[in-house]
Amino acid sequence: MASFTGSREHGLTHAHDEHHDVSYLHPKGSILATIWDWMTTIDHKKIGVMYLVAILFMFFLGGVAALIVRLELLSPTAVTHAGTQATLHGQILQGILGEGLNKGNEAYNRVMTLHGIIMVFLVIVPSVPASLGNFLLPLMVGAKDVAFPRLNLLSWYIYLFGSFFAIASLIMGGVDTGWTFYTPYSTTTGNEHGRVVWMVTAAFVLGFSSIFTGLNFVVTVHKLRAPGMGWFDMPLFVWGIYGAAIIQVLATPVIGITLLLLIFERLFNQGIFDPRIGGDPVLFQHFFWFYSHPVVYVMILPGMAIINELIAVHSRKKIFGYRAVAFSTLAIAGISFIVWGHHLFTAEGEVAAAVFSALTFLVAIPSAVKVINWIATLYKGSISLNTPMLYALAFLFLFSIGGLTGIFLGALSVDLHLHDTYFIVAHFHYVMMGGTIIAFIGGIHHWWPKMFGKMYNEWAGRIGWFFVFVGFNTTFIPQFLMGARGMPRRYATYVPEFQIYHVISTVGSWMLAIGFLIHLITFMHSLVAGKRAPANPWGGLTLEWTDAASPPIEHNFHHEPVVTHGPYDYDDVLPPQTAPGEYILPVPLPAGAKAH
Amino acid sequence: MATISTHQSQGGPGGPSLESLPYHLRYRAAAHFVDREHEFDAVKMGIWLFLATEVLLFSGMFCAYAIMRMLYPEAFVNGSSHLDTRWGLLNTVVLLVSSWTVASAVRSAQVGNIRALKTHIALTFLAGLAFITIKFVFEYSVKYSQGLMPGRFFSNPYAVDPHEPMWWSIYWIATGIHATHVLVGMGLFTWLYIRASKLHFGPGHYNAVEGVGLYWHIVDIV
Amino acid sequence: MTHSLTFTLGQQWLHDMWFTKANSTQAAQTDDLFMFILWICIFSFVLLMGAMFYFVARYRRRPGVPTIRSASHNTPLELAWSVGPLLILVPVFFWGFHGYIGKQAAPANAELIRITGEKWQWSAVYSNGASPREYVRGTTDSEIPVLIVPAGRPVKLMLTSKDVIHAFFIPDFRTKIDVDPNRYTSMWFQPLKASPPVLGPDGKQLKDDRGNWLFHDHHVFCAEYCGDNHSEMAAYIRVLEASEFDKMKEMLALPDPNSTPEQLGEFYWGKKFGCRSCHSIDGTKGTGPTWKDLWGRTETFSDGSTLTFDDDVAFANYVRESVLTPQAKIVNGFGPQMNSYQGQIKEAEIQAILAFMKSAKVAPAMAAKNPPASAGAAPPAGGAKPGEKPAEKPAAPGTPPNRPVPPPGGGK
Ligand code: HEA
Ligand code: HEA
Ligand code: CUA
Ligand SMILES: [Cu+2]
Repeated sequence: MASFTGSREHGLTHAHDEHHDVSYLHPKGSILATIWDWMTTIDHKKIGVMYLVAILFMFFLGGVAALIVRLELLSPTAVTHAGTQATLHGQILQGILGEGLNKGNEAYNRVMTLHGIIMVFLVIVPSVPASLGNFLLPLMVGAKDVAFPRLNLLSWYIYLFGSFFAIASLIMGGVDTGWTFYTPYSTTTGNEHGRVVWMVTAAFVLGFSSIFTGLNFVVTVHKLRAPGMGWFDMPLFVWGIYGAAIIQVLATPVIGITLLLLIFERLFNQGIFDPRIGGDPVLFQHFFWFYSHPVVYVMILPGMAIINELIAVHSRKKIFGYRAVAFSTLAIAGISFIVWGHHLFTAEGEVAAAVFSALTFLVAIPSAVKVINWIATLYKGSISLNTPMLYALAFLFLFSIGGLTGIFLGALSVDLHLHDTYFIVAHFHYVMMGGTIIAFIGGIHHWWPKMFGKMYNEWAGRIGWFFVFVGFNTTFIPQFLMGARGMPRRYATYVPEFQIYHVISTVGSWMLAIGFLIHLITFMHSLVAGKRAPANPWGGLTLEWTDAASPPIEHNFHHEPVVTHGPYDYDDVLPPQTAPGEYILPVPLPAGAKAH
Repeated sequence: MATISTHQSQGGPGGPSLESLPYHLRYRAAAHFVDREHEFDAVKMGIWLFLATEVLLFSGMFCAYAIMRMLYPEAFVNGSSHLDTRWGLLNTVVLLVSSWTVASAVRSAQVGNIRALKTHIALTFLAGLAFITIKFVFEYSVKYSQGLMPGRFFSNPYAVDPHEPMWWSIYWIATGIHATHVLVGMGLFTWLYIRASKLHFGPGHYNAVEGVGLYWHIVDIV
Repeated sequence: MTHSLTFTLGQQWLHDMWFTKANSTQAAQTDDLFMFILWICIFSFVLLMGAMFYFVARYRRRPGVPTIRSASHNTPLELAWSVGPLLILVPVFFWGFHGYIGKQAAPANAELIRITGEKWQWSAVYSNGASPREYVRGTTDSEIPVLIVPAGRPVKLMLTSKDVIHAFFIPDFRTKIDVDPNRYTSMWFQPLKASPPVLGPDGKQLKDDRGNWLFHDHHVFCAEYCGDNHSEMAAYIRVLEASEFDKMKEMLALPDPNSTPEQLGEFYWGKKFGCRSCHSIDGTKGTGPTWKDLWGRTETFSDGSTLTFDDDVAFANYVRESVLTPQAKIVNGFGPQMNSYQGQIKEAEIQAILAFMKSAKVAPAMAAKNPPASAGAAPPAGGAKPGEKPAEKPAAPGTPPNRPVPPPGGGK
């Protein structure tokens, strides 16, 4: 019998003598003791929250790097001429980059690389699984923790350790290899203080964090589901995280060995990737993309996972075609392993290109199925437009654009033109930022009350959303156009006919920054002065809403949850109707409610 | 399933009457598992997944090896001709034997024969040690003295093919990773031995033995 | 238009929003397929977003209005929208593959041009051994070569790199190919029309500040990241009428009668061999020692030996050795970075470089930031004289490229 457990009795303010009955956020005596408790915790919720803070911080760093990149591209030759040019823009840039500017375009290349590496390895790959996934997965399947809590803590420290390497490399001047580390450039570029080796080591170490998290999730989903929860009773969030975890476990070892070989290449010129001694630099590209293509689905599947919950809960509707959506997750995970060659259309032979092009189109289908099913879910729903839902709709809009532009890239003759232009840059920002990050921000809003027990200001959330949505499109639509017109990527300077597009794009990036700033302030305000959140503000039907307090107690549930209805059975388990903006209190289950 | 309402952490005292029991009998699964079997299942699955990643790691390496071999067959034939097959064979035998001892260790744990368990753990450890000794004394040091080093450290004057340094790079990296795994395995056996001496393992509780055993098998095969 | 765009559906503006004007036979295929996919995307995007916005508006949550029950799955419908997109994508695949093959396999009679990429410049050798002579100054001080190709004739490029991976990208021809250090790659195209001249308001062709005639040339970019000046690793492609191309190619093969050895040396240093990317002549420390005041200097080498450059023969021998076997002597404080030019450089060229080195006492105009303007003789269209000292105006702040920018599209 699923039962709601009120938060009032077990809230923050009431310290119970039985420690496991209080909120997981409850401080442990002195400040020092509390800090020590967080540092050594094996509670998946605390680990999730720590990840969340770290990842948002890294996102902030990566975002600042992006703003510098955009600032620099405001004019065709800002970098090289900033010293001599009397423009305000040139002077600001010089102020930011300082001496680096005198080294010409290299400063730009480092900032650009830094942005890519931070965003990929430190932000988007761990983002949803490590933070929200860690927090929610056990709650959603009705477990007290992930399968291997200590391994989970280890992953967290490995993440920190890897970040430390990245920051160390940064302090030594950063790297200018691009996030793809293509050889032989990466094996020959300046390596003072071993900064390239540090950075590659960072990516290598972070891989282990990713593997352990994925492994933990796979076992948790297999072994720790609550009684009564069959595979098809799982929330689709769990399916998404599960699919991503499988890819993490299977693809990451390959990048591990690849990066290791790269490190050895630098340390003792072993020559596997070095053309000067007979190695094959293109081999590196194959190895790299064998991991990095599947990994783009590690990025998007958790984003899609979030969207399922947001759409279902905020439109009070069962996800249309649950099974199709669940299976498409597995299909994406499977096919993702055999399309890596589409990043190498300008580098490989005809047969390979043809095969990879065909498979690329195939992998687009399951994504299409998901998008269409989500839109069908809205049909006859009861849709409330609060911030999480607005983010879900933004996701559908932006991810569709990002995904559809992937079709251009999969078409061979068109890709020969578009490869390594800003069209690619726009494509992957639409899927990574417009897909995963947008879903992530939406998910943070959605689960914020659950994680911290406080409501955020709905209108501030909506205004922030508006800036992010409009700013995002302003930033990246011009990039599609200039890319198709021939603007190559990773260019510190460019020919003047592209300037107009760059100017619009830069203005857009400022709107984005404003949007995120508003969100940041909203969240801070909520922590300090937010209204206390009820256990189930949105009227969700998954276990974290129905069976856990806001914030949850240390062991998640007072009673082991028993699943008696599907995750989205809004038709059978009627939530109470309320006015818009009014928060729904606990979902009473009608006596006759039964499993679907 | 009402058996899960324990909040004791693993290894915590389980009440006075249990104190007298050996650890493996009073052992309770961690709080988020239903029971020991449940935990055992999960641990086993975790270990299998981990081993899958290990296999993938090595297969990446083999892939690089195969491709380079295809490109430069001469260098690879020359390079491998320096390998001393006798020591290699001996090491294979050593590892095969250790596979058998470790399997016996698991078996002993299952039936609760702690003495046999300890003996087999110790034997496996010794096999690992033998492997490492042979590797370092009879292989690595010889290669080192002949200048058969990876990449730019290669200084063997008799190389006939310019790509031999690459062969040696792959040799050192591959065997190096493997030796590292063996060393890690030896560390794990030490840990197992200590726990076995404290009577931590028995019929109801031998996750760790089983896990390390599986790990060792994979290391042997590679 | 010489090619037909089937899938603009009459919306030429939509095409022109996305693309510059194409000038090769294969480009039309690419543009066509792009437009076809674009229409698929517009169609499915509008359909889906239309449905989304409609549902959101129609089914907004209203107080007191209960949710309406509706089916939560419908197998035929779901099958339809899984198979539908798949069917649309099948022709896209074949069409794309067809166009790809069309860009790969060159006809046998194609005009062969060998291209070499190197950090951070392109160099080219025509089928008769000639190289481009006209250079345009890029955004920074880089020198950008102008390649000539014939209109209406297939051109095949054979490309390789001296260091890292580059990529040769010609947006107006809608194609690119990676340029790898350990192999040759190739691409081909057939330009449609000769590049039209850039005309002034009076209807006459304009010249740049070096006195070279201006044309609406096609951009060539390096599209694979290759380090610091990746963004300045450019070239221009100028399409000439086939007959004019043949003439020009022959002309480029002849040595230039008017230049002094110093001028020739400067040409080799700055353009042909790109010594300038490592050896400055204004005293700036580069990857290699500066050539400023080289004559008369005493250098110490990493093996401890020293050499004073005051004897012509010793100097010549040292330079020759350094060009052909660069690792033989390394000046203290520098790394063994230089590649050998063995087999690429002729004795006469070394001698010209020697002459230039000796003259590099004071920085010549080319390396100075704001050189004094000097009049240059007007060369014939398409080829500057190699030895000519480029005449440069002080660059006005904010307008770094010296060259009037052709309007987007590179066409009329
Ligand atoms: C989150 C990450 C993510 C995701 C999900 C995707 C999704 C896809 N990507 Fe993308 N991609 C990247 C991240 C991602 N990509 C990155 C980072 C790069 C560049 C890396 C670098 O070089 O630095 C890249 C580069 C890249 C290339 C290489 C281009 C080049 O360098 O030359 C290609 C080529 O095929 C490609 C294709 C696709 C396709 C077909 C999909 C498909 O999965 C998309 C499927 C989705 C849809 C199709 C939209 C939704 C469906 C509908 C709206 C219904 C209607 C649909 C139809 C009618 C078809 N991507
Ligand atoms: C997750 C991935 C991700 C994300 C989110 C972004 C976000 C952004 N990216 Fe990035 N980008 C990449 C991944 C990503 N990028 C990658 C992989 C590359 C390729 C690198 C390479 O070529 O090697 C790239 C390259 C790249 C380029 C091309 C550089 C080049 O080729 O020369 C550009 C240029 O405009 C760009 C811009 C931006 C901008 C403006 C944003 C904006 O969306 C950023 C907005 C964010 C902020 C402005 C942060 C502000 C935050 C606050 C104010 C506080 C808020 C804090 C909290 C909520 C806690 N990116
Ligand atoms: Cu050469 Cu980029
Ligand atoms: Cu991909």
